Amino acid sequence: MSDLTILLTELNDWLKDQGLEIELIVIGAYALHLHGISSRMTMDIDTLNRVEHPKVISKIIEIGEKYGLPEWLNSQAQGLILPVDFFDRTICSTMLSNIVLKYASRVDLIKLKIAAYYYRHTYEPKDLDDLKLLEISANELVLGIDFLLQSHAPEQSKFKKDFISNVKVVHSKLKELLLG
Amino acid sequence: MDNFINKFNYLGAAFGVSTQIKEYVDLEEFFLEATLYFEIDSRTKQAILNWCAKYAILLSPSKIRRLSVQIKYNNDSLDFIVQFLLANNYVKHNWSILIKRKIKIVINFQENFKKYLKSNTFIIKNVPEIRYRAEGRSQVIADILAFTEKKRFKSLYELAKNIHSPRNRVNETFRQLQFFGII
Repeated sequence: MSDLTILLTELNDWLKDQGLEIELIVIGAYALHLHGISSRMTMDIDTLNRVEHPKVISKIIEIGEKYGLPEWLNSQAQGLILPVDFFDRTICSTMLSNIVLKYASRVDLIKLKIAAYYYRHTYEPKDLDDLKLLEISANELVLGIDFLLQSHAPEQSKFKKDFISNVKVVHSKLKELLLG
Repeated sequence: MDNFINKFNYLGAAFGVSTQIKEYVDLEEFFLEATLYFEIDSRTKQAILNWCAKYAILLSPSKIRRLSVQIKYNNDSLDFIVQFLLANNYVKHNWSILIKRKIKIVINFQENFKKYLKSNTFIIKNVPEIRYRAEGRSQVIADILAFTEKKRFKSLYELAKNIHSPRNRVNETFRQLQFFGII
């Protein structure tokens, strides 16, 4: 069990007592954990949606303070470019009664991680670490690259050419690093 | 690895819930141990660098040097971390006693204590090893206070051995703390 599940369970128990329910749509390292891909290095739960209920927000802060983890549940991923039909493919976990815990499918996690790698690989190696943990296939790598090309391409054609050639470089780099 | 992560979590990494460690955790020993896991993955590396950036100011470089002949550590990582800390002014010049080989520091360091580390309030409340140092006490006083808060000991020799400090200084400091009724 990831340590963060302890905090989520505590939040769930409180929600149950209060007769409240929330939905969380999870991506990132915690979603990897929910897929059974174990890494102890999960620092926070990244969600695509924001909790709006003031009482619930206070409780989330209170739990964070109790464990010294102020950013344990955050919605910084809000506004991310998502693969088409992303929400139709999310998986719903049944581990908590009062938190509808949905998380990205494996293929969508790979697509998002490849996009993140494209933007951050010069300064943030954690995306490569996660892609290695996912043990992706050549086909999945192509799906990720296609997502990047289709959803992230700049509108103006003068930038498009550079973008495509940069994606090609990233594709070969990932091929070498992940598939050998 | 699990043992290291438990210690790291206890001392302030935000890798999850802290396990209360009943044993005294020596900060300088932990610092050297961290060099062994520095290259394990990028999150650990960033967390170690953030921890060092925040807490290295509380550590004693001379104690680290003394310990480095007794315990296992990674020389390259130690060189890297120390020179990173010096280059970014996280520590004073006295840390240069730990440098064995000058290297060029190229790293994408993201200082983000909120993301990688537990909050100050939590650490000061729960980690006496850090609390006494953060209060400005000397390394020997802080370690004696943290050790005695957690464990009993049979002799001052045993205490000195456990906090990796010279016996004469431990004797003297312990007696002073006892004389003023602090312990």
